[in-house]
Amino acid sequence: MSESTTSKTTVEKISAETWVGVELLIVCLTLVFFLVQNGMGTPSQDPMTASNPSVVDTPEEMDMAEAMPATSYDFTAPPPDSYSLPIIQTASDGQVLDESGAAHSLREMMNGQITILSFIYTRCDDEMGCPMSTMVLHDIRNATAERPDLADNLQLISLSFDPAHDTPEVMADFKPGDVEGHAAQWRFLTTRDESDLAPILTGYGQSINRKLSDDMSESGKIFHLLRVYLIDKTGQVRNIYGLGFLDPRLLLADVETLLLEEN
Amino acid sequence: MFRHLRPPLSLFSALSFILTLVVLHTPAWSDETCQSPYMAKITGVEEFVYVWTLGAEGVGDGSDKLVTVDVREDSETFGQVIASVSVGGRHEAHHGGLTDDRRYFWVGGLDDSQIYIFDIYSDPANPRLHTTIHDFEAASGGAVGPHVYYALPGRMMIASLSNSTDKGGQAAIVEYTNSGSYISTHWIPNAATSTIPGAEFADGYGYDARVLPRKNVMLSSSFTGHNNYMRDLEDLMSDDEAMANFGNSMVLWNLHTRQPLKAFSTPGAPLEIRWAIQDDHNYAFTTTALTSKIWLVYEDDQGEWQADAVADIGNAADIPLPVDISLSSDDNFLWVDTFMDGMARLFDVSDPHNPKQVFEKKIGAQVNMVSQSWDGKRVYFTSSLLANWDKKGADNEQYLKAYTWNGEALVDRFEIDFWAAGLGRPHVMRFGSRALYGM
Repeated sequence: MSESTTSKTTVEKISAETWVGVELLIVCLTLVFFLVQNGMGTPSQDPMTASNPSVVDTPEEMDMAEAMPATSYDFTAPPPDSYSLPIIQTASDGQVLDESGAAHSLREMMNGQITILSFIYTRCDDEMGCPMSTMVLHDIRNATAERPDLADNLQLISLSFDPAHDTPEVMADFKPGDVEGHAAQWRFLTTRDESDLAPILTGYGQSINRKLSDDMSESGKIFHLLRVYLIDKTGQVRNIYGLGFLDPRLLLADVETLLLEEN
Repeated sequence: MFRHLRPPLSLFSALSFILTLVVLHTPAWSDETCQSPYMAKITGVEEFVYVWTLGAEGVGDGSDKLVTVDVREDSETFGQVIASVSVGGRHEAHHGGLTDDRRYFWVGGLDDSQIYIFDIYSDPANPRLHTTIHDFEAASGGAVGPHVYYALPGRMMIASLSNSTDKGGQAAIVEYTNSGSYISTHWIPNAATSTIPGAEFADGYGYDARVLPRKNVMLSSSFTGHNNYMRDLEDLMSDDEAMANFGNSMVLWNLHTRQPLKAFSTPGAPLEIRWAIQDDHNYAFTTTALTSKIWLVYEDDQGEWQADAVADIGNAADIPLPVDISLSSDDNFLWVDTFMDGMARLFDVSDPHNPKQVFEKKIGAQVNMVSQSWDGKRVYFTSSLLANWDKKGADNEQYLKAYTWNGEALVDRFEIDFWAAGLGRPHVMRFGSRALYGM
């Protein structure tokens, strides 16, 4: 096990109570900073400072208000047996590399499991982009540790659209440590190069645009739309989530809906 | 187990918030307000305005077309038409919407239900027709008159106006993939079959459909069927029986499950829906075309959704016919266009339960659509309602007019006469920019 992985595993073992305390402290500090920067909470009269739930990966242009947990979901998730999910499209295939660098077919890696597939790049620093989707998958993975029925039927895949930087080694290093108990498997995949990546992105409709620096060199930033896909055991896309839909409760309700559908 | 099952309040995201707060500067949102929250946003000033234009006999090639207007103020062609793509024939071009990734502009014909998907990202200054959906009616199970196009993640949601059985008002909401494959149809509930609260008000009519993801709700509104919207307006208004066939309801849906939750009585054809944009504002506005009122649909203190008429628009007895509306990004001001008198009215809606008109200006002999930038400073108007509802003779002005709103007045920026330019009847507008695609 690498040193960085060991560190993450240690972090995972910090008690839940400690995490809650740290989270609250940090959020409070964030709130204070935000209020100071915005006139102690006085609503701005300038429309230019109004928040907007964007999904464009332009962190340096993000609204400060946008950085707050503005998209908190204020509703009760629907019961899994109360609705159905239509088939949207067949999940596309392509050649991917796992954390060890071994080549696989993406569809084969889905392995007859319900799959939550998230397109990311590890250099993304837009808190409403890849970090959010990874955090949501993190929460889902942890939740399955207490639900063997989910852990046995669900897997998570984070697939990079930045193969030049996100090598198998980088993806392995990016992978969070294991959670205690039997949880859903979480794979961190990449592709050999852009030519292997392109048909996968096209197949899923995941659009990206590489942002150039002022000197027209690669900036390392990638414009992208936050997308997460729910794929059933037969390889059909059954839901697509964007920023406003990326509530782990909804994703788990959808997973349970697919499991109930099997029965 | 569900301790972690809430959104962005983990250590991970909280750290991100702090890092972002430290490095960010003033934002630059300048996109059109009132668009799908799932859509990519322009972070600079819009460069192009795409205008879906209804063809007119004897005007240019007579066909429906997508017109691109250059709105870059430093451009030699500022305020001019720089591209026009005809689709061949007249299909009652009307509304359109952008996909969530903003690569495609979907537009449609209300008469024959053709849907045209334009590629606006390969060359934003020169859109090209990407593909056409010819089988909307058959694929959807009988919905016709594809009207509002609204981006969902990876999908396009289309609110129809009518049905193929009787060409009346029973309508549906139809979903497609971004690539143009049919997914599902959700028929608007009606009193005969629905058991939701307020089912007695449900009439099956459709017009708009828009979402508030934070509350997991969607609203739909209601207009009239193909039999009416393709008929000459003066003829229609003299037919009492036909005039009874307009929608008088709105429906609240569970967004995630697409199941109707509650129907509201909103008499007089509630048309455009505009959800408030600010994070703690759980309400939406609409206006009723035939009764000339602003309605507020809101969540009350008990968590129940209600609908109240909150203001009059002009003198209802004159039938000003409210059409398009546009809400400012701070939720404080609402532009309301009234077709018959050609007026744009601005309401202060900072108290959403008590809107107050604060400004009005006659834009032309007739006016229909209005789009405003995120900072509220640039406002665009077009003139056409429907081919058979537009005014006749000299009053049948067809234009795009662009203004600067300085807080007190609309100041002229530019104007394009769509008759003189040989284009037709301009309807819906959407903003474009090369910056969206890293150009």
